[in-house]
Amino acid sequence: MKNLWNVFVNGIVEENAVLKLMLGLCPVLAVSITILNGVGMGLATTFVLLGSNLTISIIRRWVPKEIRIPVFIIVIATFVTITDLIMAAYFPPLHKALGIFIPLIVVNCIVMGRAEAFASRQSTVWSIVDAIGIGAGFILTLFILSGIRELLGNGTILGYPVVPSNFEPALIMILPPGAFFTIGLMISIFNTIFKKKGAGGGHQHGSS
Amino acid sequence: MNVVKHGFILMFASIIASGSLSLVYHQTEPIIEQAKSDEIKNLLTEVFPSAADFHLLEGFEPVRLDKIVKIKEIYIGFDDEELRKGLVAKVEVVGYGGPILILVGITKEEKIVGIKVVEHKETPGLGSKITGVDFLNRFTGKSLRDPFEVKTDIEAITGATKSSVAVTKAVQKAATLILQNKEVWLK
Amino acid sequence: MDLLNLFIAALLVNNIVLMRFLALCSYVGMTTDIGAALGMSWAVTFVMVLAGAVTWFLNNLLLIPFGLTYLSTLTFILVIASLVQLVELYLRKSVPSLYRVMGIYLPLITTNCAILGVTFINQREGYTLIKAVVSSAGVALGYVLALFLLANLRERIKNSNVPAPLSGYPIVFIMTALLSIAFMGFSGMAK
Repeated sequence: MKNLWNVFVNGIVEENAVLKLMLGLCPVLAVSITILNGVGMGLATTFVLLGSNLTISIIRRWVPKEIRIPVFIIVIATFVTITDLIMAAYFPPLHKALGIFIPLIVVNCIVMGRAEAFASRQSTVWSIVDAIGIGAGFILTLFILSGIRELLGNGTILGYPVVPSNFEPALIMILPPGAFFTIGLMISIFNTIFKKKGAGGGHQHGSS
Repeated sequence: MNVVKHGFILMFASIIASGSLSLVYHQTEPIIEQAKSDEIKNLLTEVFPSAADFHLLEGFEPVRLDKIVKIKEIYIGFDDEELRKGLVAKVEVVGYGGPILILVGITKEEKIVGIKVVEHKETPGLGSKITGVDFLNRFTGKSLRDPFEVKTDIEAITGATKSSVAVTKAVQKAATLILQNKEVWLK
Repeated sequence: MDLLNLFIAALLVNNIVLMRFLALCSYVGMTTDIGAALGMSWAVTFVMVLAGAVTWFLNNLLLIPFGLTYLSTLTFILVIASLVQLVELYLRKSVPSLYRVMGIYLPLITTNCAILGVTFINQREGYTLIKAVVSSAGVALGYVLALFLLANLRERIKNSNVPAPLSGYPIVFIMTALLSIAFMGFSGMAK
């Protein structure tokens, strides 16, 4: 039981996809204009992560090593399209706000990374816990980032005005520069709290 | 031998994937279509509250009225007794940051009852003010025969002259076209 | 004129990295060295323009006529993955000089979200073939520009005294924020 807990926490702190591993940055920065969009994106990604981790951990014994990547891509793309269709049907405004970033979950390195590094090697139960942990870390990051941007850039939390009327929202926060600025400071704070291991900069990850 | 086996596995995976997707698609498609038509209806009702139902004007092809203005669609508004109340024109105009999509509701009496900016790419905080009621209320209640010119009868938004001019021009060009065709469209 | 407009919009106004937030992993990951940044950029440019054209044919000759657009995510990503493999194979055999420049970066770009993103943008805007290619080229060169700018900035900041908590990625993002502010000045230049 304790080990399962470790896998879960690992996903939130040690291997926090965005703040520690610099994965999945694109959707994080693009949709974090409001908390609703941010958390919606986080949930959609977690659903895909869960579905693909589960499926891959089940089918892994029948998939030859040489063609595992194409098979993973097919599995992930299928779950992404299902998410896309369900969101278009039941949450049309959110679907419209997230736009191309829903189909782009398919190239989110977090999903592919977990399939390759975890689900293709571990049992089903572990893969599910891993997906939930990584997903929770992702949602939490998105929640904090979009919370800061919505509050400072628009003066609202979840659409409700929370600042005194004489506070002029800093528009730059909901524009692209605000996203880059905020994530930079968040990474810096995260690194300072959870002791930085080696100065960054040598990260060689060519993908998305 | 391996190549054949691998090809077979990949094909098998693709078939299962496409099969399950087509299943989900056929389940969700009617709901997606419904959501889309609901959204259009809501937008149309917003600019033309007194109409109960809307029908796309059949046989209408999108027309370019100017270098930057284009009428994309026209919806005829009906009341409960299937009588024509007026129309809603969907106009696209090129603003400062890109195309602006506007819905204008016009009554049989040639008056603007409502106007809404549906999509735009104007600068947030400046040009984006064209979506606000403060600006759009400058159009409601006006007659189609008004000049619709910035400085003459429409006051531009400070710091967003280009966006304001674009919206005003869109309304002006649309009004001219509708007046030309009023016998067919508004009767 | 229309095409020039489209090109400038894709290159500067809607810069794929600084305005649209795509391809950020390679943007922060590959810019520690100017040479690597340029190699990566050209590989992406090559595949992006190719993918823009190929997916246009797929979309307009196969997916739309048969009402299969819900399969576009699946088809596009598989097409890009195979395309990358083919290009790598072809370059290694036939154009070794080019392979030396961009070859090692090719396998990394299957999951580059800018390439898939461009194919989706082309599809959603309903571009003609020529527009799709011009727009893809504009986006690709915008990517080159962003990577080149950041790689040079990082070269300069290497010997500067960055406050300890900000060293590494944080300062990269703050520089990117400033670049992004500069690029916002292009808005209104093209639609």
